[in-house]
Amino acid sequence: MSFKLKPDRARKYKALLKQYPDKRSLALPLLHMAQEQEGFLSGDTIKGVAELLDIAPGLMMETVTFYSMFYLKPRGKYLLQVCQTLSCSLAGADQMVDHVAAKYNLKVGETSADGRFTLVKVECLGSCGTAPVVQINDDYYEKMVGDKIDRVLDKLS
Amino acid sequence: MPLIKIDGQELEVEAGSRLLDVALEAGIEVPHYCYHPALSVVGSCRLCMVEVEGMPKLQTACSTPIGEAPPDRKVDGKYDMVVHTDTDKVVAGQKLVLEFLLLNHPLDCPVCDQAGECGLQDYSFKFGNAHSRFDEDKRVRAAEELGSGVAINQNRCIMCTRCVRFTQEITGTNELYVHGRGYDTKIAIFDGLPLDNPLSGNVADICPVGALLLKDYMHTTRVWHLSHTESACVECSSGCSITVDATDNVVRRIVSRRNDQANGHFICDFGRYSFHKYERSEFKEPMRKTPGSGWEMIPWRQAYQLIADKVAAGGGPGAVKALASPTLPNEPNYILGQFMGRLSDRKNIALLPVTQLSDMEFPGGFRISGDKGGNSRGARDVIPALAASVKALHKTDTGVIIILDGDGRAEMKGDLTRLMAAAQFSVVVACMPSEVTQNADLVLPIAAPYAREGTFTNDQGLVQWLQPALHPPDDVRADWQVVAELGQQLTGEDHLYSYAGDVTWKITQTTVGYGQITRFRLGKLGQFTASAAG
Repeated sequence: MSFKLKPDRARKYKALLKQYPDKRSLALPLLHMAQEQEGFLSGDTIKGVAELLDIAPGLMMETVTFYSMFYLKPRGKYLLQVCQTLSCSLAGADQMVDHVAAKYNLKVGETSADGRFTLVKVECLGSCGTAPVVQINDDYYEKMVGDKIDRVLDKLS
Repeated sequence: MPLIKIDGQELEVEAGSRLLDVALEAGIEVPHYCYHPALSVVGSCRLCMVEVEGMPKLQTACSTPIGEAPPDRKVDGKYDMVVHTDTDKVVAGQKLVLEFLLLNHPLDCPVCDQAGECGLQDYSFKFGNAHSRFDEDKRVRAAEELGSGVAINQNRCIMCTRCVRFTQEITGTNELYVHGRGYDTKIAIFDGLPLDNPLSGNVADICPVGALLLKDYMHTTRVWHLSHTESACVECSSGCSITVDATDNVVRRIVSRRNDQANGHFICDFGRYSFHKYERSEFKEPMRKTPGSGWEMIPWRQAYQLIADKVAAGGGPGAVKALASPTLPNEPNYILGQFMGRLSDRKNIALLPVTQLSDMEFPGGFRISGDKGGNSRGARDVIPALAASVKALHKTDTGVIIILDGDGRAEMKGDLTRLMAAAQFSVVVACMPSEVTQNADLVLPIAAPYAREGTFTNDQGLVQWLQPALHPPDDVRADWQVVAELGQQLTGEDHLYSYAGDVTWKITQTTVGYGQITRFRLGKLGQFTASAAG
């Protein structure tokens, strides 16, 4: 299936085009838009983005695989990024990871069977004062001790 | 012009030259992997580091341009740059870089095709360490296919990215890219877009290690058993310089050889794999068509006698017609032109038509000529009395026709079919079966391309010497010799040549534009004819 930007994003792309002297500079913003729209970057999506920007698909792939925030495989509706750096780890992040993994029967890096959650560990989220922290999609959930994570996840449909 | 000193050697160089180029040209070996003269500079392998006086850190010679220093900043009052390539600091740097490059390298040299011509082996031997301090497990990754002709052994790759830059800058096809980051980096293709452009084989030539491999040559021979013959490609009129690598009288592979006068550093895949065409079904002896359906092997003497009889019966020497070959060297074409001129006052010789396509050009400047003759220009140069077309030969009756078919690249159609049908007897000089030899009455076998010797003129007027890499079979003769013997038979005059170079000398004495050419001056890179140079 070929990739096509939905109307609102297409308008945004057109507006952005005017801000750059070279279309290629739009690679990252456009990839983010495509990922927002499709959930992840499939081969067809990357090819579609490459075509829009007159870049070889290989070169586009080079960019996509260089950055850790582009996903080549489908992920859950909610991406749980648990901070694994020192403060969070001491404050119970590891227990949180184990708990979520056991509850939804998945390993770190995997997606739950119902397609809701993808669990990954990330480096410092910069919120040590409120450790342990999990970032769910674009939001921080702080001081996630005890069964607090269950209450948060249960509310997410 | 800037005056610089490298390892005590004073050099005056153009402003803007690359330090690495200058050092290499001066005969100072600066090891390097990612740098390739035909590609852009990335400075990623870090091996060409040198010490430049006044600069606190080691500099990569490939990305260091040479400029003029202001008068008060010159070293020792006169040098614009003073460089050392062999100080303790440089040597320590090289050792470190090589140790890093070998961290994950499998050191599987005993089964690696590159062994013997490998940049890692050579530089580790000269500049590296005998031991590694790396105790962990090496990263192991599966080999992958990149295209129909090229595979990659990911473990051996050192990420110099020469191949990636090749597909970006030379072919413009962009198949290869760098996938991932850091420890996981690898050379890859986008799913469904394989490395299948007409120049793809070059990535194996420019790979400094055994990562990119020609599937065609994989596990065929050890490179140190190959004999290297510097010759030219005859598959099209671009005339790229090549090295023909052979063992046991068999061509094993053809690799590119730099010649800035003809397509630079690279060759196309048509030329690279062309030798396979000539491996099978070479003719071994003269053959005549028998009234039944088969072919009969006959000795050379009998073949020539047969031709003499047919000429006598078919209207005499005046009715003999000939087609010169754009796939054969200048030498046989020249002799053919000479004796045909003596047989008749009328135009009795034309050029055998071969496939003409349009040129294929690449962004990096590489051009594959659409003229699949290879030596069309040379044949026209050395036979001034050439008729405009095969059709022109139809004007008078044809007795015996002599066709230099060479490599069999002519198509049996149109005027050629009509001319052969009109002839009473057709003699075809060729190295292998073709549409033309099938319609012949007599076939005279000549050596195949890589067993051939003589001069070739490409479409730009560059004359190159074909150096034979193989011996032809016992009863097969050189092309110029067969044509000379034919001439002797038809004119009754002795031919005066004892080897190909004799004919070349005669050509240079009598052919317009070839006067300044000598076998010696042709060397390995060839010479332009006067008309091309002027």
